[in-house]
Amino acid sequence: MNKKGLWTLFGLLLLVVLTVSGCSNDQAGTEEDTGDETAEASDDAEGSEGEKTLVFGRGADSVQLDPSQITDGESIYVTNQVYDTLVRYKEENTEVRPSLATEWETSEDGLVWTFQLRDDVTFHDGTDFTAEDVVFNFERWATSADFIYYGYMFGATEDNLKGIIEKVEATGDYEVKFTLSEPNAPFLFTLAMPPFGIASPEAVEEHGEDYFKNPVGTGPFVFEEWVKDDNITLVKNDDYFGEPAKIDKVIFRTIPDNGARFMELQSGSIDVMNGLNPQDIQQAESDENLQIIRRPSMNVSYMAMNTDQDGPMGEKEVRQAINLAIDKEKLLTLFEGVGKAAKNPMPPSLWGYNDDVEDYGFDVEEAKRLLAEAGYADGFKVTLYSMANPRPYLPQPKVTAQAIQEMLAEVNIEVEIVENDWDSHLAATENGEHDMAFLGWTGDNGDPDNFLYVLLDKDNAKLGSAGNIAFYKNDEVHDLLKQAQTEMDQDKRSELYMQAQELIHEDAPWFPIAHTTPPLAANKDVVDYLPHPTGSEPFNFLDINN
Amino acid sequence: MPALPQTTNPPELPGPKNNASAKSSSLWLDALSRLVKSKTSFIGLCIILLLIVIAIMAPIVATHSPTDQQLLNRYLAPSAEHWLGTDELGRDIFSRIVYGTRISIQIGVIAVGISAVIGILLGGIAGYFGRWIDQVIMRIIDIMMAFPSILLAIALVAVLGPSLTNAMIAVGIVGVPQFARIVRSTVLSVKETEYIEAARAIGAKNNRILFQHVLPNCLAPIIVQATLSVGTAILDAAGLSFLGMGAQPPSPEWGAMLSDGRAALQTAPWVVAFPGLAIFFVVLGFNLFGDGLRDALDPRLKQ
Repeated sequence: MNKKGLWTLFGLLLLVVLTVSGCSNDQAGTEEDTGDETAEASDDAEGSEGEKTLVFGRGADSVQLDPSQITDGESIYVTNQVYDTLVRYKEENTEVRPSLATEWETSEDGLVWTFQLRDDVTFHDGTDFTAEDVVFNFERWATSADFIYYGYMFGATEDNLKGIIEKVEATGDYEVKFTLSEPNAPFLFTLAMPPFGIASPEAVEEHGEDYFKNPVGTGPFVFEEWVKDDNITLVKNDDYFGEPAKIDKVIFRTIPDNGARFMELQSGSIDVMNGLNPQDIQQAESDENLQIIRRPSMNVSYMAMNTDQDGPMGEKEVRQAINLAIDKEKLLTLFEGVGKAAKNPMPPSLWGYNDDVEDYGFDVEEAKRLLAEAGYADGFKVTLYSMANPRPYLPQPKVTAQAIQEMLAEVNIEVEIVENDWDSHLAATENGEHDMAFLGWTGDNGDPDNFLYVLLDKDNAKLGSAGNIAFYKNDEVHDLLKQAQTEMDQDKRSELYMQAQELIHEDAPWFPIAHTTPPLAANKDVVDYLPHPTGSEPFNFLDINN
Repeated sequence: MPALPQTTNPPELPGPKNNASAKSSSLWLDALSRLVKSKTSFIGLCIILLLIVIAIMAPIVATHSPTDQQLLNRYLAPSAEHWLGTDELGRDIFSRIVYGTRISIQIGVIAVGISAVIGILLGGIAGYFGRWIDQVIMRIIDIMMAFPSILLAIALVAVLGPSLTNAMIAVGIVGVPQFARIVRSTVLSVKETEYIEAARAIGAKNNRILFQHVLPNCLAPIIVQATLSVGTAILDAAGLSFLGMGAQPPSPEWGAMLSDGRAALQTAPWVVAFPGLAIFFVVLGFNLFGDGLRDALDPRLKQ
């Protein structure tokens, strides 16, 4: 029986070793299977025809592949390859360049926009692209509140599903005319946003409800396959009207764990990854096979407080106290140098940023005083909803949540952390189930409107599709933001946004966390990868050296 | 868990002592002496005792608070100040492990308590009454055994919601089949013995026979199983916490510590190494001791 004891010991040792390396092994195990296949596939192909495959590793899967129905970066990453918009952003910034539209003009009052379209474009399903297709798409987005971004950007509501776009007409085979009900300063830049990618009407009608799984656009890559929570495969569009892709295939792989994803990059089973653990940056820099690509900063991460409730979160003093009770400087050490402290809801790289706003600072005594004033000296319990998956603007949500939990305990606020997967986190917060919640935003069009109006206007505080998950409703702010939308002069707009930031700071619907420079790590063989400030870039410019 | 004391009927346990003739007490004494002589089980016993002492004395043993964060001192390597280093939030790993001992013992005792109570009842009833009751109970047990234990536990937690209490309940339920099968087989052999026939002959009722005569004489294998199960229960609960379905932050549960630290597996291996070792030693301790107990209580091994 002593021998048996020894065997037990040995077995246990094995068990513990497995537990220690447990999860990463588990994941690596399943991921490797697909990884090997793809690697083999690309090896075979490279051997015979020199086919180039880019494997992109990321922390969460896409939610849907119909860009008009989502707001999350992981979906946009993919749809940005499959669809084209009327105009596109330049490779490095948010200025626009021609895409499906070659030229455009606007009437003097800013209400009528006319676009000339390309006549040589076909959709991936073989149908020709015409002005009627543009009309079809815009009319489709104006049929239901499900088209979230359309609502965010064009002010559509349940009562007025069209928003400010009164009419879209095909005035020729390749000419389309927009008539707006009021001038909209960011209009042209908004049209370049990936959510307004033009879909093939035939495919939309054919697939109906399932269209989000079968995207058909005109972009540089054609959708091939989606294995939920595992991978999405795209192949090169040989008939692309623009710069043709230099690689033949793109595979987006979901690898939730940052560390596991980094190990796969090191072992070569993926070529590019986002969501690098801050503490792994140094290691990647010292690895001669890897490079760090830093995305220009145009984002913000924040903890929204659900202002739309009778409890403590509804009280301005409490929200200010929470801002005072969290030591932001210390919290920022969790970002290991990729993040700068945020005090406003928009990044300092945008015009209209109000640098005169003074952050609350860290002052526990003042926080306690404010809490006592609001009648919560003895504290209270709140939930903090956090995403399980790392985000570019918040690389370590779980650890950040725990740090805030500990800091708020100092002022008797007991925080319960509720951790959900990315898509359930989005659904829960849009639905207002939280007291406090982490979220962040990467700018889509380089306009302050895209931060302030989308994230903090009362128009976007609708349960179920909220961009404003603080459910912050301030009429004064609303008026300023609406005024800024219709004002065409940028200096005047800038002034209005600065005022809005003052008011928002005072009401404290958020605890703004950070603006990050999200690092991507890539194999050295990947060249000409141009990270775009909006958070995703078309892959037709990059190449892979052999 | 409040159900625990009510369902066990503790008064029945003194059974063996009541009919404690010189012979039966020497059975237990024999076992004890054999247990102490076995080196492996002695080591196991030492580990368990050490664990209990640490759990009781946690505030004295620990050098820091288990939840105090020093964000400027993250991922420090082991040093004189932080014996086992610091974790991703600058918390002292040694102190967290020390406090985690309490949680692990709690998990072990409560989860195995749940398994034992339900398992003994089901196994006893199945074995004693036989026929269709036996069939029904044992087929349910078979179904439970068809699931990998961790999978069943995950499913239970998914239904109950993630928390340490629910993890203990889940692990407890998962452990039921082990007890039920062992108790049933022992009851099957015990109920054929002469003293049971004698009890029946003087007109004792079923309940009385089962709880006062049969079950107390099945105690030895139950004790062995319970000891061995504590190790497995701690391991399973750590697994659930690792998956985020057990202890919630900032609780210093060892499995949760493993899970939180794995992001830094390459750069700060001590964050996962020490909680891993802690789990290893505790499980090892209970298994060694359990093995020793089994040998000691097995009359066939008597020299």
